[in-house]
Amino acid sequence: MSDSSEPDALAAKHERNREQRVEAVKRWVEYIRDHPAEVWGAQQNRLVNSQIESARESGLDVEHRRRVDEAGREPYPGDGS
Amino acid sequence: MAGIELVDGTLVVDREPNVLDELAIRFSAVLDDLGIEHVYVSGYVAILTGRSRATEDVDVLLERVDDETVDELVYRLEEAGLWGPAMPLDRMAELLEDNIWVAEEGEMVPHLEVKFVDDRFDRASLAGRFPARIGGAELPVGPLELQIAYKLWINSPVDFEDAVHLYTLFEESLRTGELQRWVDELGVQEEYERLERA
Repeated sequence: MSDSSEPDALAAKHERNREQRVEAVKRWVEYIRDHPAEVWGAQQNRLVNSQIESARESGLDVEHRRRVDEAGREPYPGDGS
Repeated sequence: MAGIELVDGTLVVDREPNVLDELAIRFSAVLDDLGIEHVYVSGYVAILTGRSRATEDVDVLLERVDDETVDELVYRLEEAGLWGPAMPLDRMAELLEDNIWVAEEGEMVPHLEVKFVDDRFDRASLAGRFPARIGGAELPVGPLELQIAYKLWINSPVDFEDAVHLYTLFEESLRTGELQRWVDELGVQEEYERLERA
């Protein structure tokens, strides 16, 4: 038998996760404002460049990449949009 | 803010270019040579302006040009060491109605997702583009207000966070009337209120 409070708990967890991610984005903007471009830019570029490097090494094909991209475009669970 | 400024209508980005920027700079050089109007939109605008997240694609819209110009573009892209990793570039004229990937020859990522302007939002991005300067080059980017509203319309976690980044970073220089207009046109008032509360 399933726990009827489970969906609510899951929704709350998603909401907390969403809020934390948004808070992290805002903190990063503050970091950009407070630090010179050579500091934040180097960090940002490391993330961007290293992800591309990993993707190149993974050797995934085009169709797989399209599916991953589409999955990342799914709306928030529970938004109904 | 340090390293990202709007100066007389130009967005000046003072960090070193990353691999996405380098690909965009290379692509724009070819388009500029051929006089093809284009504009970078969506997630790349957020990343160009410092958003710290991973992506493999750069979205770019092209003005509609005739098949002969597309053929010339394909020739010049190949000459510049670029290729179509998903479909060969010689199918570009047909695929620009949807989108075609362009990348450094032999590489799948990063890639540009290139398409003709299609709807009024695309056309507004192209018409309202403004220059962004990075690494000594200039790239045309879509108006920030429209990018934010469009991100709210897509409303995936990543897209909402892109909107938060742009809105927070440029809050003082955004044209609020323009932002509200796009919010209304895209029907994202609820998402906009969530963005304001964020």
